Amino acid sequence: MLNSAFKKYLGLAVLSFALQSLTPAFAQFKVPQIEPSQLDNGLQIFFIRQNEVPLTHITLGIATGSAADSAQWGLSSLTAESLALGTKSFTKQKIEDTFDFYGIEYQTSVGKDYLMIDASVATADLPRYLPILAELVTSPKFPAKEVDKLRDRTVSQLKKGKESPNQIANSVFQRMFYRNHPYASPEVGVAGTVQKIKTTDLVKYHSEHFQPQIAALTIAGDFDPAQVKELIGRDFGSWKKGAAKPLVVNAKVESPSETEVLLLDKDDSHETTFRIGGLGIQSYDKDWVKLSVINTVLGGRFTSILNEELRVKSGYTYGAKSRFDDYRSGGTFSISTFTATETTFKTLDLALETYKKFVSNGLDQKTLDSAKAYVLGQFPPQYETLNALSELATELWAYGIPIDQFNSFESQVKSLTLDEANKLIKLRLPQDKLEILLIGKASTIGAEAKKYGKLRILPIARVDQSMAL
Amino acid sequence: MKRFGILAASWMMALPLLAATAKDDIQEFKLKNGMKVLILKDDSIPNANMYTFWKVGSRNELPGITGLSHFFEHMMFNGSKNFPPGSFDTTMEAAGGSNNAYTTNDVTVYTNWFPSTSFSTIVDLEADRIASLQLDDKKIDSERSVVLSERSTGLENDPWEELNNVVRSTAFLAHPYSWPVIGWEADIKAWTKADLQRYFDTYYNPANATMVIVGAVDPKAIIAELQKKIEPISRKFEVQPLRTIEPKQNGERRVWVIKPAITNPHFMADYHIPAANHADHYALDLLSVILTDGPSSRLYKALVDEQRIALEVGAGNGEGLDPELFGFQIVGAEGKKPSAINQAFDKEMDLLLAKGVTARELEKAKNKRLVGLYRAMETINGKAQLLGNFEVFFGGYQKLFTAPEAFKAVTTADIKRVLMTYFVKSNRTIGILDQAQEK
Repeated sequence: MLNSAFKKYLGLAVLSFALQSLTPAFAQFKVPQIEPSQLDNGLQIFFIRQNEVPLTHITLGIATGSAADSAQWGLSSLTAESLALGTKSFTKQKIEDTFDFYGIEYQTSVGKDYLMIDASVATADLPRYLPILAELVTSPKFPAKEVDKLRDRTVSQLKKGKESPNQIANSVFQRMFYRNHPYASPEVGVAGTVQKIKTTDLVKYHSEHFQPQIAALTIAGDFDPAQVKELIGRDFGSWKKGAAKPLVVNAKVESPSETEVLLLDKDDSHETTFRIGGLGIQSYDKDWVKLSVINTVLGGRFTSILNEELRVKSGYTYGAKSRFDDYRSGGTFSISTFTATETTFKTLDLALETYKKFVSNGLDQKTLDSAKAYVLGQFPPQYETLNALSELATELWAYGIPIDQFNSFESQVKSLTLDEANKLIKLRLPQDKLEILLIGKASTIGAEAKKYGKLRILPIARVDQSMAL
Repeated sequence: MKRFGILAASWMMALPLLAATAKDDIQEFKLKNGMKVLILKDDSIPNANMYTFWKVGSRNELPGITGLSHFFEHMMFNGSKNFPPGSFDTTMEAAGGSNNAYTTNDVTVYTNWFPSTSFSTIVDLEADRIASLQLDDKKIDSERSVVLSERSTGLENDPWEELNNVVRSTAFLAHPYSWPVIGWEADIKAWTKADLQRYFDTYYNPANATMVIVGAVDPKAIIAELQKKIEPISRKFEVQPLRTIEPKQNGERRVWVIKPAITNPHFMADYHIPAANHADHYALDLLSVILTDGPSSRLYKALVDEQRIALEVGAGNGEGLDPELFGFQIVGAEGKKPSAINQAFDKEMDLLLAKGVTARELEKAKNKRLVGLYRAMETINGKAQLLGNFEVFFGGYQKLFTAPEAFKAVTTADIKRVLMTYFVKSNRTIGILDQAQEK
């Protein structure tokens, strides 16, 4: 599906500038300048110039997301996807034909805190794309017949998602963890809620949220700034300012009160898919850079402790990882793996034991040095494409993070000492009251799953029938 | 099949025409042991990569050792003379590098990504495993379990996996493209250390490899380093050419896979096509764009948007060293009968066979391929992957730089001819996966 969540994977999303003294001296790498400006209607503009290929990437970010969906899970996402079903002067067919004919790669993605409308175009086609983009956000028509078709397809795809435990596990884990918090709402909704969304809901959502004062337009690539400024003024200057404020979720994200085990019963499974975790951190938390180094050691690279124990040494699984999923108001930390049904509990025990050992013993200097080198060495390729730069500028804007703060990444990695790392591990990783999600064959593993906490067994069909789990 | 994680978007979709890069920017070098080296200096980021393409894949296997190429790929990370098990990865990661590898029907490709300053360490690691891989019994056992898990999780999470296995083994009666890259389960459980050693001795002769290096590097220094560390490694074995040629298919084949819990019917139609280096490659590739790439494509428009008989459509022309398959994949809408999907698909194909494609459709496909190429060329990894693919599959890396003209030269008449040549019913295998077999 196009509409995937764009959570930052802390194990990877990392940022640096200069060198690491402990290991090989890395050459300096800089994210290109981000040049800000603003239209009178409040629309924020960012230019990032890079001329390696004759392409330009455009991201229109809006400070609203699935956390604003309340009971209508999937509303933000369906609204964003429906923009291209036709506008005041462009029919659906005209939009599709134009995008395809000129090789324009267009997609919308909705996150919990903000959404993005992305396109990669040949620079020569910018004057063709920008007027369409302007109409997509200012005057979509949401034709009822087309909305019905898109909604039905979305519902079918959501139902079909259950055939792939790996595809739904993160989102189900988050629903388990967030419960009644607005972040429980899956970015694309669930079949049961999307089915009920009407065209009038889209119209209402659009008029309430698609406003220039809570939006940012980033243009990254090989373009002529004077020409593009003029185009933007022409196409977006008349976008009317409204009263909408950026979405800020104030509800506190909290740890569960006890260890919970949810077993989703998929009777034809021959393996068990796991998520184990708890409270994580906010986006750009003061410790996020350092925690990303720590997560690299635990489950963020091939030689991580989790992959070493569960894959390399025992052969229980093809892979084991851990990650932070962070949002404006809070986030989760989770471990993910899978194994054959017969080795479910050996794997679960080993995952828990490995994690607990890591939290209590911490790491050694050699491992810390290696992780720091790895994080710095793997950083530059993450910001090599126009797409990555454009989405980075949008994220910094959405979370109000100054570029300087972002650029302190390298010095923060370098400054992390063993003592501090070991303190952070104890302080910031969830230690008890973990949430455990198992997707597998309940008739085989149901009885034993009880010993890990308060167990609930639900048929897998439940995940798209109702909001509550 | 890949060592770790999920394979990135297919390189098959990427296309040639380089912007800032020209043919003369590539340094071509042959080591005395026969290994070919391609180097492209690119200072856009302070990193570099090393892609080593070995011409060995599941097509080099036999019944009983199916999947061995892929398993071997895993074993290349599990210890060599100077780097005991585990230290390949720990050494590389401590130097700021990461790695992966993948195996296909035709090739096994090892990929290293690292800060340029770590180049020497990376060559030490690569040279040692090519020179003196050590096959440790304990590692063979644990890695066997890892590969069984890899196979199992593919089947658990992707309904196409099983259907594709059955369709390919039906479409190919004789040629080794018939079995899955990951191998049949019984073979995974049964292969021995001797099988692995023989594979190493036979196929891991440097003369059977092409190494591509792209990034912020000094080509002269690289060549000196490779001459010192990799050139002395030589083996005598010569890879024997594959004997089997798939006999011509004379009649449609049809297979079913029953999966009671499936929500939507899955439909495949695979047609035999020539090898990647055949002149029809470019027309076939453009045809795949015209048929299923984007909302204005033929099959998406007809089956998904207008008739609503399908939820998703996709197509791809297999690019092989030997003749491959052009495959269609259609996820039916819930409750639709496979026969109805089949009929709707046939109706569109019949229309194409009768009338061909329009000039505008063809131009669109060319535009898409061109812009797609620029996107692939944005990264040093995209460049390395493309150079290696063209070198191995398309008759030389130089072809990357002439491919834009090759695409441009394709006419609507070529598309029509290609349609009439390959897209006939007697040349195809239909596969259907559903809750039950339709009566």
